[in-house]
Amino acid sequence: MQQLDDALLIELALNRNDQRAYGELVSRHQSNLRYSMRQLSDWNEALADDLVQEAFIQAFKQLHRFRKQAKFSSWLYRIAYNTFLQHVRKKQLVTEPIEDQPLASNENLGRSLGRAKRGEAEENQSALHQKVARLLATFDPERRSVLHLFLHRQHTQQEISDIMGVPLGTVKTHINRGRQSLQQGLKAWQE
Amino acid sequence: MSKEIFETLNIGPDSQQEQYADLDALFTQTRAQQPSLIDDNFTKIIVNSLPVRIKRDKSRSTIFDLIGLLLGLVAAYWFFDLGQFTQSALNWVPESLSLTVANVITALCLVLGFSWLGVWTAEKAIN
Repeated sequence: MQQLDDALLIELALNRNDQRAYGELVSRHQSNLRYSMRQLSDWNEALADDLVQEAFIQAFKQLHRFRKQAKFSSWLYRIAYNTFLQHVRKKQLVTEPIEDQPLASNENLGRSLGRAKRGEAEENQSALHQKVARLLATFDPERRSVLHLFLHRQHTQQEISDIMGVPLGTVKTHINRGRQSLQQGLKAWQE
Repeated sequence: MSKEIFETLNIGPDSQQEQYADLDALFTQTRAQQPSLIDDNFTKIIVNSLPVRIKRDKSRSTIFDLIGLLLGLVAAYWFFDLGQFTQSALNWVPESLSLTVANVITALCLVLGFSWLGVWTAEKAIN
């Protein structure tokens, strides 16, 4: 089962109702997806895992809609991102938009980094990931996701546009403004 | 504290010459240190939460097919009787040879269509 490629596993899960095949897909893709959701949810591990679980169940229900020419991981990310958006809309998660106000942006980033500094009891890997998640949490969910896909997953702008279903121009705007803000925040942090 | 982090990330003043060097270094580091979050229990929880797909029972589906076919025939008959093919339908027995190929194809399509609709309705109603 571990040697089969994603397309074959999807075929087995879809046509033969083989839950072991879908289990293998879950096992294969859960790490990246759980990490991505943690980055999007300000490193809220419980929430991220709930979102991923919901996304995998939704993906199973919609498996017949999966187009074979797409990457399963990208399709899965889209479902997880939409699940995250639904959660944000329901719970009205507090975000601190930094849109087009550079000064406000720096303040927000400073505040965010301040929180990060206060919470730093030890320097380890987890702390690094949490800091990045806190940096991203200063943005609205869409920009957060675009920056994660661009900076961490290293997708191209066009790929991000396809994965998220957002116009290419919007992706470019998110990347340009988001990177500037993040860079300024990091500089402020260094000083 | 932040100084220590940037030392860990090998981010120095020189690297700031590039516009987003600090940012790229930070994300390069997070990528390199991304933890593996594979958990067999997590997989089991998801697999156990998956909805059961309705598999078609072959013996039951044959009954559905028959019910659907019957419903389809009745519906098609009513359709003929009410529609523009009334006259042709009435002439079927004595002058069946006068039916054109188009009439036959249309009738077959209608019967198949109504049968499929009947099967679908019967399955939906029972499941």
